[in-house]
Amino acid sequence: MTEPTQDELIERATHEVDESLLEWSLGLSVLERLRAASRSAATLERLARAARDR
Amino acid sequence: MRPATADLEALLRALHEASVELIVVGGAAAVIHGAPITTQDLDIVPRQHPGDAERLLGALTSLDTRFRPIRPDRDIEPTLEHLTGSGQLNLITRYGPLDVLLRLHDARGYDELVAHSREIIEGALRVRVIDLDTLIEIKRSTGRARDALVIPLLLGIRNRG
Repeated sequence: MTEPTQDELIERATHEVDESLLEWSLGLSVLERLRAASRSAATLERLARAARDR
Repeated sequence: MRPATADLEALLRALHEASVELIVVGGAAAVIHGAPITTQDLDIVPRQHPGDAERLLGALTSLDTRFRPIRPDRDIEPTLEHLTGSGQLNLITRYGPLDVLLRLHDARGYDELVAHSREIIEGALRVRVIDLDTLIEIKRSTGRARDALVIPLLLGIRNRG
């Protein structure tokens, strides 16, 4: 049995995308998407730093 | 103190206010198209017509920009020479990391990409972003795993029409 190619894996994953998450994101305005992404990244960075400093 | 993650809105506003012509690519472009992801930096492809590099440099100077990472022995400000080349500049600003891609990995710059972009205006925000099909094509062609991970989300968005 051959390993799936990257394109096949991507195709498979496309059918398994969390539709409710996409629905939520597409329901936001562009500004809201930018703010959500920035705040999420900042929060993850703070958590990572706290874990490193522990 | 410069933050480790980008305030995408603040960076885009500052560049727009400085009249910098650019195309947003990378993770921030995916976010603009609706991908529910995070990204640490803003990737832009700036136009390089006469006067553009000076405008971009002015904006970068006002944002207190340096090359990253900054170390005690490495505190380098971008110059006009940097901005008129064809490299990829990993910078850090007062609003976080900014990658200035004078050329993509496939050598395309602003002039080659502008026909594959669209302008989005929302309130005071005006931003030109690479179109969804081209973003997918770019993400496919880099060969990087972190780019491949975003493609299913982008295809999911495209499939919704």
